[in-house]
Amino acid sequence: MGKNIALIFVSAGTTKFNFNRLLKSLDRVALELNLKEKLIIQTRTNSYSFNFRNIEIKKEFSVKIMIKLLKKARVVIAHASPVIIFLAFKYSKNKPLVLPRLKRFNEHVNDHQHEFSQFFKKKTDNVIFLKQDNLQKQIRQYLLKPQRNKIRNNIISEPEELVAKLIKYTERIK
Amino acid sequence: MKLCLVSSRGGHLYQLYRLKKWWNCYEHFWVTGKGEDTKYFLKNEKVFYAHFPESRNIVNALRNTFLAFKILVKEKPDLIVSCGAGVALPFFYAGKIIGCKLIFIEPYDFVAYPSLTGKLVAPIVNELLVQHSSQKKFYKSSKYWGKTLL
Repeated sequence: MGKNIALIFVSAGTTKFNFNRLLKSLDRVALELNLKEKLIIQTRTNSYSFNFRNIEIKKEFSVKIMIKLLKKARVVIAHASPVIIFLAFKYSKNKPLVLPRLKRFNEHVNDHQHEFSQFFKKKTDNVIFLKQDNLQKQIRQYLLKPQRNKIRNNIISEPEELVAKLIKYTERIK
Repeated sequence: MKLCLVSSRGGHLYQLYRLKKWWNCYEHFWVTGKGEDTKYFLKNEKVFYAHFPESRNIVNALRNTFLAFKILVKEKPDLIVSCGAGVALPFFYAGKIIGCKLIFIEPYDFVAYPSLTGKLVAPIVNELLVQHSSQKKFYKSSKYWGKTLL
């Protein structure tokens, strides 16, 4: 991967459900803005045909490359998985832009991503959750003016409490 | 003490992986799916591969049930742990029949209702751990021992 490629990284996760709704909005925004950056998209299922040309779509990247992409991307856009959000907190320059998958669009088995977003936005403002209406407008606005990641390098600690209790348990049942 | 770590790929795997300071203390093996994430995180680990996709997939659930008995009878783990997703179900039920102890950890992103896997394994587990104390209300004897992520 070249040293100075400007890019937007999009992660749709390892789930088999498509996320064409996000990809379509992104495509329109990229064309509208005449985006100079490359759109690199990780999606397991790809049934959307982009009009915007400067794209790379892969089912998945190696973890090492994914971390590089998170670090290099000007903006990270993701589905509402706590792990990708966590990794974006660790590595990315700006706050991640997140769209919860919804059951009614056949994007997941249920609406736990939506519920999780409602819960998580009360805990932190370090992630920008997209509202379900006017996706294009929100994405355009954020690509023009992203917000700095406040957590990066202030790394989230190890799960010490849970580890300690699990060790206590296994030592007891030995 | 031997552990069996059962996990779907992606976020479930990462959450369970975050508990390395615990599971690495004991002899252990993994049951998961093939992919870039498992290749990276489980590079030097002992891994068995189950059948995917497992989400609401009866055929793979049956195949995984046969696989579960095969693996568990051979490996004889003392404890089976999972943070989802559906692949845990056949392994937990097979494990229960064989006499393994079972811990299910509700995934971090369940905050408003119980996960389907959680509901289905709750009757047979030794411990059901939630990652937000507000999740405790969905499971009768669940406990909050902390979070894998933030």
